[in-house]
Amino acid sequence: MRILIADDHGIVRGGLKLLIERQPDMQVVAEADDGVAAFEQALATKPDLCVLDVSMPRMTGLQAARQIRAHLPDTQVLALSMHDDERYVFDALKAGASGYVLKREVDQALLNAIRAVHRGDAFLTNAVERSLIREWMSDAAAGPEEPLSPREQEVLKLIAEAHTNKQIAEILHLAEKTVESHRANLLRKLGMRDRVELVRYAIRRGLTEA
Amino acid sequence: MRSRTLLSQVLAVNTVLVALTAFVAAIIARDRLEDAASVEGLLLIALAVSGVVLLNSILLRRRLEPMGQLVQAMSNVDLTAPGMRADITNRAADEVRRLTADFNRMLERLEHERRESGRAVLRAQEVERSRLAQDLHDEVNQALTAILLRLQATLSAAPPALIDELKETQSLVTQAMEELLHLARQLRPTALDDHGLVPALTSQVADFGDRTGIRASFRRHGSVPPLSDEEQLVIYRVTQESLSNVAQHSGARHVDVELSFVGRTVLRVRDDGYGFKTNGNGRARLGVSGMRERALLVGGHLTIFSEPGDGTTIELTMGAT
Repeated sequence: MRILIADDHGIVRGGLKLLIERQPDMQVVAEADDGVAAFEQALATKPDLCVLDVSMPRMTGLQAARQIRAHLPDTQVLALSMHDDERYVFDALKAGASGYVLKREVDQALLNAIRAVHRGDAFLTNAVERSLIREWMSDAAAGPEEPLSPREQEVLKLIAEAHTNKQIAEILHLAEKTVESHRANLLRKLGMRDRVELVRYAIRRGLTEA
Repeated sequence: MRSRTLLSQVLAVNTVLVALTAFVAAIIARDRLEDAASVEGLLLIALAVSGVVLLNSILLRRRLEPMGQLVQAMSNVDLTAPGMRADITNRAADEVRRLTADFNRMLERLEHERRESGRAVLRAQEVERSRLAQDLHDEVNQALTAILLRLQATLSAAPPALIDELKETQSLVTQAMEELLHLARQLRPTALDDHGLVPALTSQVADFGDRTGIRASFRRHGSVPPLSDEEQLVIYRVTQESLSNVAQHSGARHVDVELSFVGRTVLRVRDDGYGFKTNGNGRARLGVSGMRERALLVGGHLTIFSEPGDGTTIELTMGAT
């Protein structure tokens, strides 16, 4: 099984690699420290499975998952996260991840999750299932609709991280004109005036860290 | 009497006094000197003088009363209960009215300053907390994740005698991570930023129940009005502080958290614990003063209802919404 691992923390990547490589049937073929690199590495190496940290710079793990699933339908995605918050789980599943593993349960769950997802099954750890059930039972289950398209969210994250239109165009393989029109659409859709407000929104939505 | 300065009033009173004296003197001068020295004459003078003094004191007292009221108002001022102002009465002299107005303006400025510096302190505190939380979350927990992974890798090649030991170490690491996550969440309510007030409170209350074994419920009445970030944070923090009191001091088995937006915004945290005797209005107990200060910053008000044996209710009321 050929696996790509992406996490912006080198020590976590080191641990993942050590554990995965120790399994006779698994092999780490690529490493990435942000979402953009993960997507590019995935295109280059076409792994069977990607283990993606949910919070990464430039492109979140979820955004990368969406891209990878769109371009490489045979590559499965397993989301790795510190958050047991239901919303992150929903978002990950929506982005095309087949499994969601909490970092604090990584020792028990990771290898099982990798095998399950590779077989084509879904995988959630116990803690994640518990919080999903809690969400179902609370009255706040219906969250606000996401007003932005996935592409617009990608542009928003990069704007919030202070990339120029030109850099954004390069990272997302888009024309600069297209980026400009996305930026205008973002401001219009969210009813905002400038970048500062966009940054605040991006932080609130968990697209980027404060 | 159009002019109302103290000086003019005293002058006026004194003029009346002198006039009366002169008048009496004139009456006496018209009669013979011997008669003046008579009992009737002396009585008349005494009567006149005491009449004048009485009149003088009545007039002056009435005039100086507004001043006394102002002094009283000044000593009654309590900065923890803002909004109190000295009254300006129409009878007051110009100086007293100006003094009162200036005092009120000064109070206004003091309260403003106090509010602003309180806000700044709270804001700085939140920033510092969020930095700490970020560090715990990003640095320490990532390192612990790596340790978990490495232990798991070691486990697959470990001699059987060490396996239990390694597993125990792993569960310790997991515990540490959970505690750190909890701590980070206490320090900085990311759920508040990410999902809004009601979901954040829902999960705070549910977490509290899971952690303490105290049965905790959360209910919301009415639809959420637009609240400022500061107001949301105050509601969140007051809930947090109240729940932590419930866990530490109350001995309660149930706690109900209620957030009502019907009419005004009211947060109510009610437990069925021991309760306590509230002294006066339940001041300065169990971090209550901190909650009060927070409430004040957003124009809110904190009340505590408690009786020994009858549980405790903490109520945060925010202005009309």
